[in-house]
Parts: sequence; C-alpha cells; structure tokens
Amino acid sequence: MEKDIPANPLRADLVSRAVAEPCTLVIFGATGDLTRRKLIPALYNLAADGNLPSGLAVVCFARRDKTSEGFREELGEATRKYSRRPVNEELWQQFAANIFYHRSSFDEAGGYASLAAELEGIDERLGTRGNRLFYLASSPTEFDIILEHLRGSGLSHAKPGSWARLIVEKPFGTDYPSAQRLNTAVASAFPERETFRIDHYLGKETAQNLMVLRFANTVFEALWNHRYVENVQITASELLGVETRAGYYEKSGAMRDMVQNHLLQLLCLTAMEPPTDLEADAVRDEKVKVLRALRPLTGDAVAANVVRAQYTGGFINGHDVPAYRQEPGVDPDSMTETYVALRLHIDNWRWAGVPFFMRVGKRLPKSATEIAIQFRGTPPVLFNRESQLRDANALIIRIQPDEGISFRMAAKLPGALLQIEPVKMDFHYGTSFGKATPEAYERLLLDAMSGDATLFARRDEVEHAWQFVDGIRAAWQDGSAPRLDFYAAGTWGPREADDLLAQDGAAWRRL
Amino acid sequence: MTVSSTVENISPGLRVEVGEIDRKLGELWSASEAGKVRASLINLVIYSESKDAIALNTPLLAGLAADHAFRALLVQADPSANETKIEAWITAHCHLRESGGQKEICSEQITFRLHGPAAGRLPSIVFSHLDSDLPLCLWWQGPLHPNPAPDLWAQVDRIIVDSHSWPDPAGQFSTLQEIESIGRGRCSVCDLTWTRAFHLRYAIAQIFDHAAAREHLSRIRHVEIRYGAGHCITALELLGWMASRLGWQLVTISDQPVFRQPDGQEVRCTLHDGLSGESCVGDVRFDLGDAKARVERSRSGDFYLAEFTLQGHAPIAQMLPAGRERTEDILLSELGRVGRHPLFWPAIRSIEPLLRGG
Repeated sequence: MEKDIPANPLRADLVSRAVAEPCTLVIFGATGDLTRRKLIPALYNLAADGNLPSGLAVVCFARRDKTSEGFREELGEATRKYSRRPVNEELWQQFAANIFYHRSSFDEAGGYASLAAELEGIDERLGTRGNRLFYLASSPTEFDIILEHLRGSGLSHAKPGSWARLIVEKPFGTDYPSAQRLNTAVASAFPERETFRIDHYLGKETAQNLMVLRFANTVFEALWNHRYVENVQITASELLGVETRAGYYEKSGAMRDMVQNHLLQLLCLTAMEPPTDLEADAVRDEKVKVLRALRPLTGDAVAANVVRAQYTGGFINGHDVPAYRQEPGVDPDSMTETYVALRLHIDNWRWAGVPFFMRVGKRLPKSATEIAIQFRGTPPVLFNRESQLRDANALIIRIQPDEGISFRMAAKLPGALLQIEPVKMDFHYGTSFGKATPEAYERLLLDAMSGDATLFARRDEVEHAWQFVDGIRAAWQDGSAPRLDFYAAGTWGPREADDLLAQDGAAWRRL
Repeated sequence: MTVSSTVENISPGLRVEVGEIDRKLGELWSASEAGKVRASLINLVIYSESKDAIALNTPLLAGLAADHAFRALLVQADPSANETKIEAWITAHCHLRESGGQKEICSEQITFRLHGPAAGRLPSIVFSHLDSDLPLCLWWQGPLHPNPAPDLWAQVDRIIVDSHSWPDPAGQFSTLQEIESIGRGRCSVCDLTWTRAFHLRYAIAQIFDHAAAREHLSRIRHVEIRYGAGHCITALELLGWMASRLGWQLVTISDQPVFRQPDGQEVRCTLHDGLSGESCVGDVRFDLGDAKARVERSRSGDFYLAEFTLQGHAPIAQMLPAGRERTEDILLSELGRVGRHPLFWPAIRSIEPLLRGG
C-alpha cells in the first residue's frame, strides 16, 4: 500500500494548473494512426514543455508482433513527422526509453495478466505509484472485450492511494442504446469520475475560451439571452470530402460524425448557465441542462427543422471534385448525409424563442468552425429604418482556423451624408499571442493525468445527445422526414438550408 | 518611414519632432502595405542610462516583437549632459506570423534620447505616448534611483529589473520594495534574475514530486550550487527560494552559508562560481543522507537532467526544458506570464543578510 505523501512545497507557484501525477499510460490499439499521429507527438510536446509528471511510462498494447525497440523507432519517425515542434533527439531518446510494447490480442486473458506484471515492474523502476491511465484507441468493436478483461484482471481497480482511469476515444456508441451499452460496460470497470470521454473539440483553445469570454467579461453575458439575441449560428464546414474514411462515414454520416458530439458540445458551451465553480461536474451539470432543455425533434418536427443533403460533383478552388457517391468505397446509391442543417430551440428562460441554427458539411467552399451570436436590431427609428442595419451586431467566435473573436457593429461612413456601414473589430489569437497553441490532445492528456475531467464528456451528456439525435434519425428512417437533398460540391449547401433560416427572417452568415 | 522586418535592425528609425509622434505614427500605418497589422498587448517602457541603450535594445525589441506585440518606448537618458534636449525616432518591427506568410504583425517603437535636465521629464514623456488601456511595463535597466518619483511609479503595472548586475543588491532591493509600495498593490515586481532561474526551480521541484524523493526533502544536509561568472545573486535567489519554501533559517552568514531546518538539522550550502559556458546557474546537487539528487545541463544544453538516486537503486531521471538565458528570451518568458511572483520577496528575505554581506 502506498503511503500518503505530503504535498511538495517546492512546487508552489511554478504552474497554475493541477500537476500531472506519475502514471503509466496504457494504449490499447497502439499500432493505429491515433497513437502515431496524435498521442505520442502530444506526449513528446508535453515532455518538451516540461509538463509530464516525474514518472511516466507508456505501454503500447496491440496484437501485431513487434518489439519495444522496433516500435520506439516507428514512433520516433512518426513524431518527427507529426510533432508541432522539431524533435530534439536527446529528449526523444530519454522520453522513448519509457515506451514499451506489449504484444497481445485483446481477448487473451494471459495478455492482461502479463500486462499487470509489467505494470508492477514499471511502478517499481519508475515510481509511477500504481497509477494507470488506460486509453481505448482501438476500434469501438473491441471496447467491450478490453473492458471485460481490465475488470477481470483487476487492472481497473486501483490500489489504495493510487488511481486507475479510462480514456475513451469517440465514437461513444452509434445511437442511444449502443451508447448506453458501452457506458454500462465502462461503468462495470471504472467509476464515472475516473472515466474521460475525449471530444477533441473541447481541447481546442477557442472552445476553452468560450467560458472565459462569457463569464470573465461583463458586457457579453448581460446580452447573452433572448432579450438581445436574435439567433445563434454554429457552423462546421469542411473543404475536404470523405477522403479515406468512406467505410466509417457511410455508416455514420454527418449527423453522427459531427452533430451528436462536436456541435452539441459547442452548443452547450454557448448556451449553458454559469456554473457554480470550475469543477468538472459543475460545468458538466450546466451542459447537461442545456441538452435536457433541447426541444426534441421527432416526426414532422424533423421535416420542419432539419435539412440533410449529400454533395454532388462540383468545384473546389476551381478544381473538379467527384460526387460523394463516386468517392472510393462509397455505395453508388448511398443515402448517407454529408451535410446537415438544423433549427433548434432550447426551452428555458434564457433562450425562449431564440433559434439556434447549426450546419455541418463536407465539400463546402472553405473549412471553418465558428459560433455566431446574432444580436437583435435596434428599434426601426433614427438610424435603423433601413433593413440591412437590423442585424448590425454580431459576435463571431472562430474555433478554427484563425482562432479568434470578432464583433460587427454599425459605423457612420465619413462624409456629409449620413450613411451607415457595418464594420468589424477583430481579435486574432495568432496576432495577439505569438506562442504556438498546444494541440488539443496535449491539453486533454495532461488533464486526464491530473484527474481534471472538465473538458471531457460525462455519461449523461453523451446519452442525452444520442437521444436527441436518434429522434431525428428515426424520422429519416421511417420516411416522415423529406428524403435526402443534394448540393454541388463547393457551394454552401442545398437551397432548403437557406429556406430553413428564411422562415425566421434570417440568413446564414457569409463565411 | 522605417518598417524593419529583421532582428538585425539597430536603427531607431525615422527622426521626428516629439510633438509630431502621433501624427507620424498615423502616417506610418496609413502608408503601410496591405497585409500589415498593428498589434499591441502592452506598453513596454525601457529606461536606460547606458550610452549603448538604443543600439542594444532596438534589435532586442525587434526580436521580441515576433512573439509579444507591444508599443515600446525606449528611453535613453543622459542626466549628466549640459544641454537640455529631447530627440525622438519612430519605427515598427514586423514579422510574418501566420502560416503561409500572408500577414505581417507589427509592433511600434518610439525612441527618446533625453539630455541633461530633460532626463527628469521621464513621466511626462511616458504618459504622453502610451497606448491607452494597455498595461504599462517599465523595464529599468541598471541601478534604480534612490527616492523613486511617485508620479511615475504609481502608474506602473509591472516593474522589471535585473538584479544580477546591481552593485548594491541589498540597497536596490530596498528601493524596489519602496517602488512596489508606491503602486499600492497595482505594481508587480519582476526581477529577470528570478525569472532566469525559473526552469531550474521547476526541475528541482520536479525531482521532489517523485514520492521517494519527497520523503527525503526534509533530509537535505548539503546543497551545492555552481553558478556562472557574475551570477552570484542568481545562485543566492535560488537558495533563498529553497530556504523560504522549506522553512530554513539562516544561521551562518558567510560565502558558504548554513541554514537550520525546522527539525533543527543543519543544511550546509556551497556556492561555486566555476560554472563553465554562459549559463548563469545550472548545476545543483543535494546530499540527502542515503540518497542524492542533482540537476545539471544536458549535453545539448537545451534541457536540465534532473536525477534522484536512492542508495542501492538505479537513478530516476527526467529531462526538463532549460529555457534560454538570452535576455530577450527571459523577458519574453516574463511577459508571457500572467500575475505576480508571490515567492520572490519571501526568497529575498531569506537571504537578506547574505546580500548585505556582499
């Protein structure tokens, strides 16, 4: 049993966040792309910034026959390619020395028993104190069996004074029942407080800045309600098509790939009430309240409030691109949506009557993710007789690329005539803060090692989001909603999506 | 109008009349090419009485602008001059910031040379040329003047000094404390010497994050610190930090001081000035009874190797960033930091008798 060790008095004031604790990170499915492209480069960058704990080991658990030495070399090559900063060989050698490859299939009990023995040895050698962080980076179909073995082998049970945590990579199920099943399997092995569901959008700097913008500034929160906000538009547009992900995307479509997780998370951060404190559960309680207040969309309501579409051939940056149905790996008769637009309502006091418009799509004219708060116009007297001024004020929060915030307002054109034009005040992260922004995975891994779950989705968040999305998908499947619409690649989506806003006298922002 | 795009630039730019500065800066921006963006996060005032101040600080500001946008007021004063004269120049430092190199971010620099009694007009010069609503950081290069003028210091949000070169550190720290009190809580103090040792403090703390090492924290018997030429104050501040954090009391004032731990055990300290290379301080060793710990520069010099060895066990080692010790990097690190240094004054108080002892 580990003894309780008093806090380190030398640590005070050196970092302003919780310090990551010594641990062993075990990655299941470590030979996949995620480990090479994201996880190991993120850990290396944390090491280069001095943010890793004093003891850290990485055990890569996978089926393929490899050695630790060979796998370190593979990871070294990948890190040199994908790291956001150049790799320092001296640091890499020191960091890589604590990466170990553990060969086993996921359903082999002996593989977990030998893993347990290996972890004990690492604790002894590197002082990782019995702390384990298990990362499910395998195919979701393997999650159940891995969890079962983690429970069966006792690895999911932390020793006194230590912890055992689980990071689950999305998708968290494919619908509400499967999410429930997965969450039940997770809960059978790990308590909710030790479960970290990654939605990498929440690790992005601008997403984190949303709460700061709202709750650290006097001016915005006072206007952040139905009295002043006309509508909210959340856009996640991608220039790219389905690329090499046809197999996955054919089954998921835009609704499950983007709306159920990323966009609903952004909606929650935008619409939630101020939490009582910045503890993980206080923040997540408020997000869940937003999801619970979402007006359900089922049956006819789906036809009236949701547009789904698929791209046909068109032009991106002047180049021909094929239709979705002509992409490699896609069914030529595919009915998968590559675009979704929604009108949502949050039935609570703050947002009564304010439509939240969301759109997400592939093969749109540019890649951009942003949240736009469109404020109501001034009364139609004095300067506001002309209709174009009715939507003069908008606050735009750009999540990616070119992270920043801009505010649009009306200003008088210089000259004798009284002419008013919209102008923009712009804040760019890149312009104001020169230092490179850490990758989302760096922040999220560090938080998981520190036990801070604020930027991770909780079980009830995930399940409420699925319930909402399942209602829409049920209407698509039973035919009560219109069939798929189409849009040419390189355009901003189908006309029906424009009509959706026009019904409220609104229009999509021009990005 | 000068718009510099390289860090080699040492020209203070276009000479202008003091009363024309705002208008000329306006002309600079209206005439600048599309794709240039003026940015500013702080007002950075640099005051120096060194003859080389403009030549030394202009390239430093040009480099700094790449990572921290500012409006800089570089003031070189020559109080001993006979004539009363004020000269001024303006320039901008631009850097490509975004991927693809489409946008140049520019910071402004206004340079003043104050001759004779005009040197006493520093507050007037500063207040007339601040970018409104932005914090005011004043980097005072060289020894502080005794009897600090309240009209200037009351407006300063952050005073930056570098104590390692002070001839009378005890007196200067006392003046610094006086300056801080003028601001009535507004002004935060930053000693670049303290910032310079941040990564070393971090590496030392990291060793004792490890459970086995933490148990030995109260068993420190001997600390050995090796510092570079002219960096005795840096080593003393490091010692002061340990003493204040671990509750040590100074019992022997000498160049090899001795502290007493809360449990009565003595901690002997050895300070050497033999550190090779250009490092200010970078080799610290601890005798912990049945264990040893050390922090030293790695082979490349880019990292600290922090190592803890329990007798009979293999060492537990970690590499941690050592940071750079160029003044420009230290300043950047300080400007990028939000908030105060709450451990600084307790550390100074812990070693105050040693500072007085020279």
